[in-house]
Amino acid sequence: VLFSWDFLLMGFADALTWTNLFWALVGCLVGTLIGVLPGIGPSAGIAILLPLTTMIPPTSGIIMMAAIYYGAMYGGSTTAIVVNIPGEASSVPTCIDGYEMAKQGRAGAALGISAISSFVAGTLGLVGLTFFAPLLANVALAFGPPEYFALMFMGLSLVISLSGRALLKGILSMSLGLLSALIGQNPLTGAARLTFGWVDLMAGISFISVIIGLFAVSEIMINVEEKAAVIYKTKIKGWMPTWREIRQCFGAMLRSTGIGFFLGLLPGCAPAVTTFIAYDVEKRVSKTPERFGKGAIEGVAAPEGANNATSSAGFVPLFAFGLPTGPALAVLLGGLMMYGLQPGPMLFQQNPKFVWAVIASMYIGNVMLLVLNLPLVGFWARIALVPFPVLGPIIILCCVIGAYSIRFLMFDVWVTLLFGVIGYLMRKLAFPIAPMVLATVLAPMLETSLQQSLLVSQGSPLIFFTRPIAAAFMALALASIFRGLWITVRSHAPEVAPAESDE
Amino acid sequence: MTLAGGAGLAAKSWRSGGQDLQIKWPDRSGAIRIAVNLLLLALFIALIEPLGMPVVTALYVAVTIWYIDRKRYVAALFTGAGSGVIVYYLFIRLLELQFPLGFLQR
Repeated sequence: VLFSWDFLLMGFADALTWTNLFWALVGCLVGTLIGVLPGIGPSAGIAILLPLTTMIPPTSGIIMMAAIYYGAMYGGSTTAIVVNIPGEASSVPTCIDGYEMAKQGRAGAALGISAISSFVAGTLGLVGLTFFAPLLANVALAFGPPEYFALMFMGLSLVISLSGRALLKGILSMSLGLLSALIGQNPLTGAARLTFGWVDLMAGISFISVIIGLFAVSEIMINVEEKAAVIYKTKIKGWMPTWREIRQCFGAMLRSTGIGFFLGLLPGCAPAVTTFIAYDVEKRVSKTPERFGKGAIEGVAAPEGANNATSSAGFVPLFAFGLPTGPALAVLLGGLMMYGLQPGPMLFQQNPKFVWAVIASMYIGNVMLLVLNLPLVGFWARIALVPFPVLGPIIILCCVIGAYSIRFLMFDVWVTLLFGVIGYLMRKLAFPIAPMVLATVLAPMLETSLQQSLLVSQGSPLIFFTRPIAAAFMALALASIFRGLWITVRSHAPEVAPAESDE
Repeated sequence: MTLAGGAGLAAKSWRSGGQDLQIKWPDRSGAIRIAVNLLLLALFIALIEPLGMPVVTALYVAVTIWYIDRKRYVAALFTGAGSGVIVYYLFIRLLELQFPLGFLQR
């Protein structure tokens, strides 16, 4: 049995030490900041900080990075409501009613309800994580290399098929990610490949520089291109919604928690996807749907609840299987591996102290964020107004520092710049970036499990279809790809550019 | 085997690269802004080793802010100088990261 109350209590005891509390607080602050600032999201933020965290203990480091991830979900709503600019893609639906409320002079109430809804859904999602993750990890104990390969294969194909209507572009993006991860030495044999005799390439390309480039550098380039100068002033007064409004939103919070959590277990269902669904559902079940879009408070509560429930849910497959559902969790997975921790069922067995400390810290972090956000909303809103010309170069500077501290090599910085250009082109050409990031991070594990499976089966790929669990995963993967293909072939309408998300 | 896999992937990406693409390229001024910013960034990276991280940081941040928004030269000066100082004291002194110091060599 991988769950017991003792484990959870032990986790709380660990998470409540001063060191871990401090790093959780740092993570919450940085996360909110990243969420508030447009132009940098949780994936890029975590990737930049990852090399710098090697100097603190693993548990504290992961606690901080997890806090950045869910903290960004809180912060993203602030700019959405106050200035109608979503700090993160997951806050786009929040803009609809949140900004309407702000225009009616009710920005404070909108910010208040988004913090409360985030807290309720985030915490309920954590309860789900606490009980679901060990349960799934138990199942995963029976997994061998073929099952893992099939699982990751399924994860990647779900990310591709859910990434929008552009299936082919998703596949291309994924193969680019795999390709960049193949550079360097073969993990099993040590043979050099794709290095073209270049010594710098022998150690491979760090996934951190790939991600910093793809998300942060390219985002700045997109912003530089437009001469955007938004100056806007909203007075925030009366930051609390009334009790009646909180009660009114109660149903919305619970529904969005359910939607966010269960969809959030699936790879590819990043918060940017589930918030839209939650908003839509809320509009449909409402007795007064005409209020939506005109400042309905449930229209703020639903997406804000959903994105926090989704971010909690994402940790379930991450901890139980080692499968990230989105780019930010992929970076976190990379962080775990940097510390030599292999996520999956073995993590619960061998490092229960670590897993439960991180899970417990997330409960504490949610309380911290509620406390930080309700009274400090005005402060965060002012930070969001830092003009881009000042912000942009500083973000780039952070990227350079992050990339350089990976191995203290200039080479990594150049690689980051290169992937910044690639990321910019991909955004321009409407290529989804998430599959590429997931593929880069998963590639080493994917490859190792593939080679191990093929060793077991003496080179026959049939092993993925004769073992029942692996076969089920492969069938799901193929079904999702064929479904995507079918939709692509059937619709002759011009392809819709997928909303790019950085979480 | 994995080499072949990589090559196969590359081939696949070349082959389906000819899909119909609707591209929204930036206008001329946008393209110039991007090119100049990229150039500044490349210069920044290239000069880190000869000049040292703190100095180049200050120069890069100040010049880039000034380039993006000419009216903000005061902010540019202060932010630039500030970032240089922060890089030196926070990252190099406090966190002891091994950035090239250039002529500031202890």
